[in-house]
Amino acid sequence: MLKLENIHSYYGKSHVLEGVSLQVEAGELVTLLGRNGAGKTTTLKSIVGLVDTPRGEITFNGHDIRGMQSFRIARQGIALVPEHRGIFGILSVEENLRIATRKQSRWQLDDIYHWFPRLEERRRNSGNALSGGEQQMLAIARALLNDPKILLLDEPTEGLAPVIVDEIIRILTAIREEGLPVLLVEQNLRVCEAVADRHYILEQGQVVYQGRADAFKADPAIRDRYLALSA
Amino acid sequence: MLNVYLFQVLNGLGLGMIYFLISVGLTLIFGLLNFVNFAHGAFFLLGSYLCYTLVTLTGNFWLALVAGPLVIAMLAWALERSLIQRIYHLPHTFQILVTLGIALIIQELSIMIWGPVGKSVPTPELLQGVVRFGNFAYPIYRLFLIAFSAGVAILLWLLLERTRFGALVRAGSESTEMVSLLGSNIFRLFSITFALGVGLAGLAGVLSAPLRGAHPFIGPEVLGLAFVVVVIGGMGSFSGALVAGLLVGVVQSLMTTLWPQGASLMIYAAMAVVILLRPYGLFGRA
Repeated sequence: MLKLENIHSYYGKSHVLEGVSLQVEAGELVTLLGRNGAGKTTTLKSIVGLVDTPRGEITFNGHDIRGMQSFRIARQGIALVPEHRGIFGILSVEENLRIATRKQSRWQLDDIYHWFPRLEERRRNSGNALSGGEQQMLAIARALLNDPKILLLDEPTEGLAPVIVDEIIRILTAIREEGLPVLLVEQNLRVCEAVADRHYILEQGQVVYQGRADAFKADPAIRDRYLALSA
Repeated sequence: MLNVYLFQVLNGLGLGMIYFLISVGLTLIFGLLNFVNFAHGAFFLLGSYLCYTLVTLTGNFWLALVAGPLVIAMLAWALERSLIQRIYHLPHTFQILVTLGIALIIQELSIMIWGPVGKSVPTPELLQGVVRFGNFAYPIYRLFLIAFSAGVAILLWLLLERTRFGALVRAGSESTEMVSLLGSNIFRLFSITFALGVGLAGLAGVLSAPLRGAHPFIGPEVLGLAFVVVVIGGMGSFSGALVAGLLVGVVQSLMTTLWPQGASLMIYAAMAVVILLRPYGLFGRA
């Protein structure tokens, strides 16, 4: 469904992705792991057209989307929830949601309020009055209203308290059960192991490992080699 | 004596609404596009001249009131698509250079078309004369100006606060990138906002023409005042433009009775005080 083939991405002159290939199939939840600076966020940004990707192929349902403008990529159904969450602080919670609604989306405002009752309680509050966890939920909820065919999440549990992390795991599981594919960048291995079908590990802008969740879990050596904080 | 002050306060409100219309366009454009438009005063000038020409040709002020701002908004749209859009990413100094050039072109073209001497525009027939309250008389056109601008202000507020378009403009003033990620065509939003903001300057020009006529060298003065209003009110703030516009209008108007030589001085002194006490303006945010 989403396929990256040997992509190279640059921030100005610095070569950040050096030939990344990966794919996400229908209904799959795939994680992208790796240490800080490995190129995880850059991979997500390359997919949605925020980073210059002069070489390689990015296709979505067979359509070439590399080099397209971000808003056109978003309209194809690729919804990125960025690391900083991108909540509009001067808009109310409901306005944040309403600007993302699309009539053809499987999820409408009522469904979202049913899934996230907390957001309905706070619908008149401004975006910057929300806690970190509420902002993350709002960001995910907003992406769901935007008629997504795939969700790209960048470290959704970063900086959140353990109870909120459990809540995010519950949400991710529910999204997976709905059949919406997800590409998840996450540092928290507990979250990854709880929800993922497959994992990729990036190192210095290249994919150095890929495997199914059970294989990854059974082999602690991989974790130690690629993800442990190195000396 | 009290009537003199009442007269000047009303004058100030009318003047203030004109300042509001000019500066709200400037502040909208700056807020969303982070773009400094030094041609803003020139579009005001063009509005006044379009009003003059349309009234001279057709005798119909109402036509000028509708068509003038529309023509200017379309012109702004075309300019945005062809030129302005290419310089958003440049530093403000470059934007000033380009828009100052546009302002000069508009000014010189106006002189070529309408001559170096200002033109006066008659007050529309329906709005001639005065209204009397006891022994106090006030020109109808000036009352119309206040009421009409207030109507425009309300419509604009509804547009910005109660519609999806308005929410997108406000969202875009925080992060254009995130607006794009939600699938909205940010470039179209830019074009519409630029045309809207410039169209409002044109509307202000049309409205002020029956009072002050059309003058080829009014641009820089109008631009200066608009910047004062935006700085006092706060960059990107609708309420700031309204409150500061009225404040500047009323103060300027009262000063012409109290101390005419000091009128401009007071305005800039007020701006200096606001910058010292509230660097982001009365309604601005950091």
